[in-house]
Amino acid sequence: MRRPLAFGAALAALAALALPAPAAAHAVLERALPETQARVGSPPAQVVLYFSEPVLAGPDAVRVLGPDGRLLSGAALLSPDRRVLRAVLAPLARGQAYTVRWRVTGRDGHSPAGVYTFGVGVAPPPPTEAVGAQGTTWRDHLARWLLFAALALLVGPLALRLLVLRGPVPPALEERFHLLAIAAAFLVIDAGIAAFVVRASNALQLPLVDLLFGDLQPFAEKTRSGAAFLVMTVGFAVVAALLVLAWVFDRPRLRAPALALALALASGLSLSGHQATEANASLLAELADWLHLAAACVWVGGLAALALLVWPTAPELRARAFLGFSRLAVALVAALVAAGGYLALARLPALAALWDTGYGRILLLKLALASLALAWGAFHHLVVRPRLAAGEELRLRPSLVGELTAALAVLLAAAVLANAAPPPPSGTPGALPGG
Amino acid sequence: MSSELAGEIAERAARRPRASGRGGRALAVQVLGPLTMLAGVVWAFAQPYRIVFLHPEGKGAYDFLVQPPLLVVVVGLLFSVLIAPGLVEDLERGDRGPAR
Amino acid sequence: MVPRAEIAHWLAASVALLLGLVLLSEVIVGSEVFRRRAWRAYLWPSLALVSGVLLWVVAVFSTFSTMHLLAHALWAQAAMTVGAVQLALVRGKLTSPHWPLLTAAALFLSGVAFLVHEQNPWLASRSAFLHHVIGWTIVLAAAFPVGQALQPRRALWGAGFALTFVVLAVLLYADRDAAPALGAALP
Repeated sequence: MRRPLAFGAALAALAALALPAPAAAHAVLERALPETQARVGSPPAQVVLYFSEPVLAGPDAVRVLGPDGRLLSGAALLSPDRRVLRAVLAPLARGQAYTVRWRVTGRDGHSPAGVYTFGVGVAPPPPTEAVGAQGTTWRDHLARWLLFAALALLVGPLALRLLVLRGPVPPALEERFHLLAIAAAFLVIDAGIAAFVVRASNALQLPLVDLLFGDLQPFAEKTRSGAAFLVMTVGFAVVAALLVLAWVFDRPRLRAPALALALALASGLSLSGHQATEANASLLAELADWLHLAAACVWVGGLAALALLVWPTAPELRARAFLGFSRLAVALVAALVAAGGYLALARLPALAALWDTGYGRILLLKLALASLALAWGAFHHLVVRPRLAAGEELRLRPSLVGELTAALAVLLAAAVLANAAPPPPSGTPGALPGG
Repeated sequence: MSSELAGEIAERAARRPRASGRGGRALAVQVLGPLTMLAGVVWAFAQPYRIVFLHPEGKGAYDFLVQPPLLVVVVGLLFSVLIAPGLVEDLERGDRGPAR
Repeated sequence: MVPRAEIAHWLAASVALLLGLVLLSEVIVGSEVFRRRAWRAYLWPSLALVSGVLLWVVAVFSTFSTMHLLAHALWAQAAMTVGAVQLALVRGKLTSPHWPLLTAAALFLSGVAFLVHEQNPWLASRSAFLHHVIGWTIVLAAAFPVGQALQPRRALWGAGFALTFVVLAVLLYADRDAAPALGAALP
């Protein structure tokens, strides 16, 4: 008796699913006037937000703030269908940028929220620099460091395998190279998402639960870092797929395009960082930054592969791998130092900026850590390498791990530096005197 | 002679359930695609407003490319053309092989 | 430029339907016959891997809420991981019979992601209803790969796994951005 009833109920539910009529999904901001991140010619009289669903909104659901933090909007008013929210504005000045913060309540009781900027006669700053946005925190540094470390774990071992340990290697080692690369590719994607969300959260300034319903579109679609995030996420998914195919079908040739693509995608960080967005940005600075990042990642990742893959898994290849990587490291360090030196000169308006500015002090710390790592590397190159080449057996793994640890500390300092605001160039207000 | 004939008849009889089993499976694979296509056609008749070709006003490119009942027909067609024939052939090849 | 969500869902439904038909045909003819041609053996894992890559494209365009970005990212990663593991199993790179448990875990987590990121009750809307039904379907379907790991010869588990994708396809096809939960009968 029950079965026909249950069957009938299931059929009825399916049939009902087939019937159309209007209703709702998640409430999202569909459109805004002025548009998000827009540069408008004349001051708008009001801000209008269009939602996909009816929402609930209090009088302060929309707040428009001037550059000095002053509230310039009146009470927010909902349309009769509760999908359009308007706030009348006080007269706005030309040549300034304004921040719009909005927060409504959906029928589910949760509160989608967002922030964006617009400029009247000027280009607006990115939403990460909206009024009320918090500066970078330890979460930003951690996320960026994880991204750098994951990138190093991806490109370094691949480069070691392709450029140093050419030809066949023991199957166990080959397997580990494959699996590490695949895991690292996914880690790059996840760290990238974490960095993106953390960065947006600084601007949104929402409690964690509400952050889950935060509108990230202005960050993703209207900023350089957002564009880099979109391209890098999909790009590294392709890299991961290539590496999976290389592993499954024993096609080591697929690793070369995977490495090339990964290194090319890393340029997204350079193209969206300070050297691309600051007043004295230039193509040369972007190129130098990419070269600096790529060389560092290959060096750190190569060290990791040596210490964690080759040393324990293939003792017979230790000497060959170490000697080959040592030669490669010379080129890497040369590129690192040259590009890093150029960037320091481009970023700092004067030598005194090294100790007079926050950016400079972080750079000093990074230089100190880098000196330690480079000294360690020099010891390996100048002292250890000749003895290994002469056939001497050496217990090197602790030393390799030591150099690796120092290099990872450099990456952390680099992450903090990437999140810091460099001092303004000479000749701009607030700049240090030239010298 | 008669024992050979009896043996042959017994062999054929033993093989018949196996052959019809494989025949049943081949039939099941062969009808999956057409059944899917039929489901798409029935759906198109049940909900003609889903067919954008019949109601093109105000529709964008995506609406023309993605019409669910037609997608169901295409999936069924893909299966019928690309997958089912090879499966049936492999099933029949196993049928013609030595009895196990 | 970016299509409506239901367009993406209908495309996903088509992939799920094809996947379901392929898996169902393997259950019907048996793995031995199905894998006589190598490309067939690699077919559904390849579909899963490629679907995962395409899901990343969907994920980065789902930034209208953090929750949607994270949920789509999880589904993309789950699809790629399952595809990679299944490819390796077919190829012989992985041999343990317990690897289907990873597929079970991926299904379970994907189902949980559906349920967690849908904050509306069942009958609030068509979309809410489908999120709940799809979520629970996938969560419960995680039992099928577990069954395959424990009883690899029983066709029931393979059939259930295959039909999961057919059901998923039907549910995704039922998605309409503007529709009540169950037709016009309910408010």
